Amino acid sequence: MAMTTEASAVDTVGSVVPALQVDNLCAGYLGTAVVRDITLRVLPGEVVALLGPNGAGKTTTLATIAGLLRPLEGSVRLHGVDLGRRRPEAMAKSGLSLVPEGRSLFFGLTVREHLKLARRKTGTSEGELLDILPELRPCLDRRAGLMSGGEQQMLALARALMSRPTVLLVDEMSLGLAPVIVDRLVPILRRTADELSTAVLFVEQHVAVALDVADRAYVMNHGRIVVEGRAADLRQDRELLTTSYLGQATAS
Amino acid sequence: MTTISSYLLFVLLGLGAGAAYAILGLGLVLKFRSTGVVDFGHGAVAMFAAYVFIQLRSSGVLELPWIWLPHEVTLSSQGLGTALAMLIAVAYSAVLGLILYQLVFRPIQGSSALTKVCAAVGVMLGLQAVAVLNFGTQGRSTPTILPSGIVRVAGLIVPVDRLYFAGLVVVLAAALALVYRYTRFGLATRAADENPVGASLMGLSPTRLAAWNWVLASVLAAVAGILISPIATLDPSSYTLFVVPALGVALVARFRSFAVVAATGLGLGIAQALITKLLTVWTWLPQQGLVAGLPFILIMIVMTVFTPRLAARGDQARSTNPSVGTPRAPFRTALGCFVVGVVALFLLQGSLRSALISSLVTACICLSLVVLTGYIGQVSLAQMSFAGVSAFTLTHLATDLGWPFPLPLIAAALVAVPLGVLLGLPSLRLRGVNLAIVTLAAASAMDAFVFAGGWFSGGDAGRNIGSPRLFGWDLGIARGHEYPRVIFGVFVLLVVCAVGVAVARLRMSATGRMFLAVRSNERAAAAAGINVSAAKLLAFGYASFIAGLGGCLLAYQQGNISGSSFGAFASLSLLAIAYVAGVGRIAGAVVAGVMLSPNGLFVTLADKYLHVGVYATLVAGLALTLTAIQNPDGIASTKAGARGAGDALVRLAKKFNAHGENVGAPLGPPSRFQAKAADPIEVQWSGERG
Repeated sequence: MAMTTEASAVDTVGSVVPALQVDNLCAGYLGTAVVRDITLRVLPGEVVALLGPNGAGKTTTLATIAGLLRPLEGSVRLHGVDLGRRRPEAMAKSGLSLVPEGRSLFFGLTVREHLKLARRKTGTSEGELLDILPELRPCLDRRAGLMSGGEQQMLALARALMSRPTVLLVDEMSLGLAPVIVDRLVPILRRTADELSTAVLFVEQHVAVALDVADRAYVMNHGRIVVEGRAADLRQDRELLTTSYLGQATAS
Repeated sequence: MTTISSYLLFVLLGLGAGAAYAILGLGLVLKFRSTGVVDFGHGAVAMFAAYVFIQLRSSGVLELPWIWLPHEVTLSSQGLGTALAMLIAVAYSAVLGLILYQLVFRPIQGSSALTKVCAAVGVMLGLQAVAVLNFGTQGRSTPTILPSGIVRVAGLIVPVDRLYFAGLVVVLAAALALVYRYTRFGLATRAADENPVGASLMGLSPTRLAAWNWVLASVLAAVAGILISPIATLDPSSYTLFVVPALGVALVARFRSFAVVAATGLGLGIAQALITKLLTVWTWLPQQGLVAGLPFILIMIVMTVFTPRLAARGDQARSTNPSVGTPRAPFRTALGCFVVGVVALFLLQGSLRSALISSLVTACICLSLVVLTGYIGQVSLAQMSFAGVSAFTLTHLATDLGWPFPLPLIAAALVAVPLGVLLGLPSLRLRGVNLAIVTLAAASAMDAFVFAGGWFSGGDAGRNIGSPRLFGWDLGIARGHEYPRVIFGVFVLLVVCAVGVAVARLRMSATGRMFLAVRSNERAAAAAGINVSAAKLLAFGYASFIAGLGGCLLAYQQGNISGSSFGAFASLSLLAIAYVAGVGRIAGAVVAGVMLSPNGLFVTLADKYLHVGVYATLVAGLALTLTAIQNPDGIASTKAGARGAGDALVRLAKKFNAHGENVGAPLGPPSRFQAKAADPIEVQWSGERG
């Protein structure tokens, strides 16, 4: 896999310690690897898109980083500290937040209760959060199960932001949502990274939307990272993107 | 006025038992909401705490929950003070609860409802057995704890302690409701209950939350056990069975609302006391069993009538059903078994021969669970009740009416069928744990109404049954001094083999496939055109016929039967041994009968040569719990479990071996991954890509 080792401009940033550093990660289910040899990094304040066709292993990668799956090989480092085989609750306490596929909300709890549960001592206050996502203000006392899909996704994002994570992982926010809501939510990732210097790694099927917001992107296919590069470059090189999705990418 | 005041007195007296039900119910709700476990062993924990309290208070001896090892620690030469004894007993219970959670219930977090039920029943049997061994079955009492005495309010006599009881229940329920509504702990428990993954992503540890809830529930169990000990005589079985009314109470509250638990618990206690009073006034009421049976009637009505659909928590979890066997050549197998059985009957003598016959009878009743629990996945804790109804019907038909032999056997077994179908009706609305509770309630109600006495079951004397005679040919187990006779054994063997073949044919038929489809996914089965309700009722009817046959064989074997053989505990033990042996397989029923049944061949052998009979229940409880944790398929299955202590030991052993061979070898999951990667297909796959 020549491409993953290809030196890119970001590697030379120098002394900045990456907020998230994943090295040679292999992960999967029941001892069988689904993703192999994943090496990626996200710097503080950087927004990185994880792209790829269905079944490429994006969700597995995020779940493994968050501790939901035990890595088979390789390491996950947060701010230079190896936190590999920790349980998800320990990862969450170390400042990592995952907005998972399917949102994982508690349908019996109200929005306010979600936020209360998510708050850390050093975290964001409810007021600050509602300034970022004012749409949640009118439904504070509504149960999550009674909200629309878009509202639920906002709550899932709000819950993750509430703990003021240093690393934010977001899995396919746009799943089943209207394009309007995607356009509303994706820029929040950018804003979070810019204002709180959070490292953001997000999976997105809408390649154009993702590359508009991201600084860099990795493209996965068949469980491996096949292309990595600056978002601006990838936006130009549609050909490379297409071939990487179709599984015939070669080093460019 | 005087009559009204006497009613009121009974109302107040009922608050005592009602408070115990309510407090136990609160604990059950806590356990269910944090782990999805309906803990049948909750009453046993209360019982243990009560023993610890009474022993500390009377003699200053701390009782530890094990046998063989020294289990008595003398803390003081004379009794401890009440408050101190209470404090120690509560702390003891908290630790016991924590240990039980970590060892038993944590490893089965994601398992099916049946597994959880069996583990809880195992804990219950185990604790009760330890209590019987360490404390005996003699009832114990202790002086009052709360201020007793009476006050007179407007001419009414009011026992003060009952008011304290009621007050305590209200305070506890309110406190728990507030905690669950407003505190971070309560919110976190609710969140983790609903979505463990979501909770752990927020930095909440579902297992730690569950452990705390479990401790809290165990503390409540101790409080209930201790407070009730001055007003209800303490013995291992009655306190353990307090869990049944408490389950009813928790059920009415749908394992959610603390307020409903408090109100229902107190209400149930009052209702029971009032019935005691009314029985003296309205003499037309059935005198027998009404007080004891009321909670169970309540459970059944509430569960089936007022519950449109109670989503069982296990539904969401990835559930592991016990595996099912695939019988091959059932006729040949049955013939082989028959030959082996006949040879064994001739070879064995005396007590061993009758133990073998007992094993066969148990195997027959276990076959009913193979159909019901194994094939179609319905939990029934009332199989012995069906067996009992058939057995007593048999005595009436054969002894009193004098029907000629094969007729009463068939007819009596058929009597169980409508009963089974009736009990199957709740299964159309309820699943898993909830169904288990209803069937347990039904078994307890049958205990109270049918088996406790009366003309049908003959009371303490029981009822006699003569030898079966076919065309003047005596098939009986005894003739003169001959006991046990081989010919009776052959008769039983024949029936059991026939039932075995019938079950095997059922498994291989279209109906059997229908059952399996219903077991794995009711909605998918319905979508595939299977009438789920009809399939379930058919299975219940079929299973109760088999259980009824087994009950009749038991009656013929014992010659005299009494209701105590068919109690709720007998059904629990039956499910326990069937599950341990492998409830999805016919071989499992045989293993249960021969190896695990308390009167069976293996235990009798062990008792004869090793004298371990007294530990039978304890062993059954432990075995049940371990099987639930480690190997949901049971002994008869060849597949080894993938979780729990046993597997951990195996892994540990492998680690040591690995260390011996190659110190630098990576351990745990990575090595498994490497093993996979060495697989030729895998290599080719990655080679294609590389």
